[in-house]
Amino acid sequence: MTDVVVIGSGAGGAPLALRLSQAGFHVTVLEKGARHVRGDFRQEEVIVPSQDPFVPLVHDEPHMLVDHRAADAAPKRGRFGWIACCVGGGTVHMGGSLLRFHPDDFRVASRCGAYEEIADWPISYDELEPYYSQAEWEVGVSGAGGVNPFDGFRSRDYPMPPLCAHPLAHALERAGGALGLHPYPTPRAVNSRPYAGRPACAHCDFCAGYGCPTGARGSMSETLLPRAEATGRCDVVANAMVREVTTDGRARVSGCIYIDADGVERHISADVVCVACSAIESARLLLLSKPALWPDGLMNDVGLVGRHLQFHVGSMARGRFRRDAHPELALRDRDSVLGRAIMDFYFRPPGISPLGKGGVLTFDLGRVHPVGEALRIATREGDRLLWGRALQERLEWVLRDSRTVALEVFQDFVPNRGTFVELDPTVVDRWGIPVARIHLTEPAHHRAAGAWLVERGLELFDTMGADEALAGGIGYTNDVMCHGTCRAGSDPRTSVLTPFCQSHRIPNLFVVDGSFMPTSGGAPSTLTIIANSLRIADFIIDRAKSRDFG
Amino acid sequence: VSEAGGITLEHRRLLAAALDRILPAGDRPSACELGALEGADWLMGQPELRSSLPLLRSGLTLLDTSSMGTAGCSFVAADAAQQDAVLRALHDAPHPTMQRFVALLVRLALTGAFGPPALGGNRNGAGWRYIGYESRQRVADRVASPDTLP
Repeated sequence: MTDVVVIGSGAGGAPLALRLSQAGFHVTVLEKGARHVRGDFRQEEVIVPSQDPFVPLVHDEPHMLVDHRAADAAPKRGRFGWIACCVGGGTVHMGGSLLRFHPDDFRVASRCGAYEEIADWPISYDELEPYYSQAEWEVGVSGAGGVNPFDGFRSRDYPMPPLCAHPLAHALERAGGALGLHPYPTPRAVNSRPYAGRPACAHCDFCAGYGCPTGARGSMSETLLPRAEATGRCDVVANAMVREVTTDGRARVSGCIYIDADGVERHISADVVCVACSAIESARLLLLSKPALWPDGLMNDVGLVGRHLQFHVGSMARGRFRRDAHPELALRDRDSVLGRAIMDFYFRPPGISPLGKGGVLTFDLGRVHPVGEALRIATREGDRLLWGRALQERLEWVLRDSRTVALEVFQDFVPNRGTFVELDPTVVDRWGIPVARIHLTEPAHHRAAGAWLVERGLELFDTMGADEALAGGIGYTNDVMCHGTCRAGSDPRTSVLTPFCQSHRIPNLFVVDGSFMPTSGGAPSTLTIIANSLRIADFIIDRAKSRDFG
Repeated sequence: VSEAGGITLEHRRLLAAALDRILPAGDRPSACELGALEGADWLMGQPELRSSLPLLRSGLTLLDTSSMGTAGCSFVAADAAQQDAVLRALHDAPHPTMQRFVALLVRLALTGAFGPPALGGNRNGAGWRYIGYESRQRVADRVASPDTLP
């Protein structure tokens, strides 16, 4: 028996665990994956990516993808939509760009008009703002408040100054200024100086996709979870696969059934159940839980669990600067961070695509991982496989003779009828449990807006004096974050959750990851998920005082 | 890609010649000079690629057969232009298996030439010196030894 069971230990689950345990509740966190420590993380680009230790093996637990863009829309087995299965969730291998959303991200439908299944959020930026500040200080975010003119109100500055930047960042700022743009230091969950007992970043160039061997990155496993455990009231159980949320036969949940590391099935009772396993897996768990009152899955009486699935949309470009022609830029290798973002194009002028929403442009130094870069150049840069002398010349230019600034565009994934998650009718995981089947459809806006945003980035590269500027992928689905499958709203006919991420019909059941988000936002959503979880923790604490949960 | 792994010495000679077309010798270091053949030994032993051994074997055999047909000699004995023509013809043939074979050669050559020397290739860091990567690697080494952290 525990007061609160939290299913999942990432950006959604960990903040709940911290606040609720600090408030005196006993919290049990059930995490499907393993617990890693700093010494587990290798800085090596061949073995680590090929083994991808953060997500399940395809033959153990696949996601089935029905890609409605493809001519053959048969379900395909793969890893699409997995974020991470380990203590700390996706924050363990995140790049850590912890941007706040724009105030109008909370009201896209009102600002931009109807398109596909876009809806306003049931809360405003101002309601979330105090929790954004809490999140930035709990995690440890380096940044410069007040520099980005498109930021919403900020009640507190960042706890750390921005990371030390490469001189190319200043060249980018000058070029941006000349174009009337407003580059600012990208807020990162990476220490620019020692913070909360963790060291400053060593600029190792193995960040996104890798675990941090020094603890300089503010993953949940380095920050909020240890603090929760230190209260003595939080147990984090690794390798615990939850297969069902249980009910008491009435309109209340009673706990959950999980399979432990030894394969033994266990039941844990709880007054409150918080589901936070990422938008795809949270929906899967709710659809797997079918008590008599909810034969189609918990909270799925109006068929909305799993609908409105969203990711992000990405686009790429690279600007290259010849080392021997730009001594003024001091193209040194020592620093790995450029770290500038531009929000001037977060909303777009009319006429580009059906939706007037853009996104954020983030610039960083191109990561120099020789094998990965060489393979990308040989296999994906041109129309055909490259080898021989042409490959050697290209490798020398990209890896030896120039320095690359990489542009990554983030924009909203538009919720639409053709993108959702359901249970696969035939494929099961290694425990015999049906896996998630993901349907993917991309509205035309994604590519149209992506192309327009990349053009803006290429203009900036030209103004910087880049010797080469090339667009990469345009408007692709970026599945490193997922959202929307239990939409929050005020109307139980059109939403799964209340504005406080509480089930409309089951008062002691909450879903506290990206599932609640009516729209994905045009920036990475990790900070928003953390902040929202802190907000929901306050709500649960308040309601528990009123004995709402028995 | 040792004999124990089901690759004959003849196949190994063919593989070396093929890898050196991906990164050819001349005024630059070739794939095998950078240690790609030894790197391929390690890579083909990994679970992810072990199932590709039959593809490697059949591709190398076809490479040699094609060379006999077009150049009139073994692929190993053919000159660089002839080898390139054979490789290009295989890749461009409407046969996805052969495209996968050429893509595998590219992967073996580049991973072997530029991967961590501890994996068997990148002989004494020669691949990293060729592309000027040593300085970045020193940063990674520094992080791997926490007592030298700044």
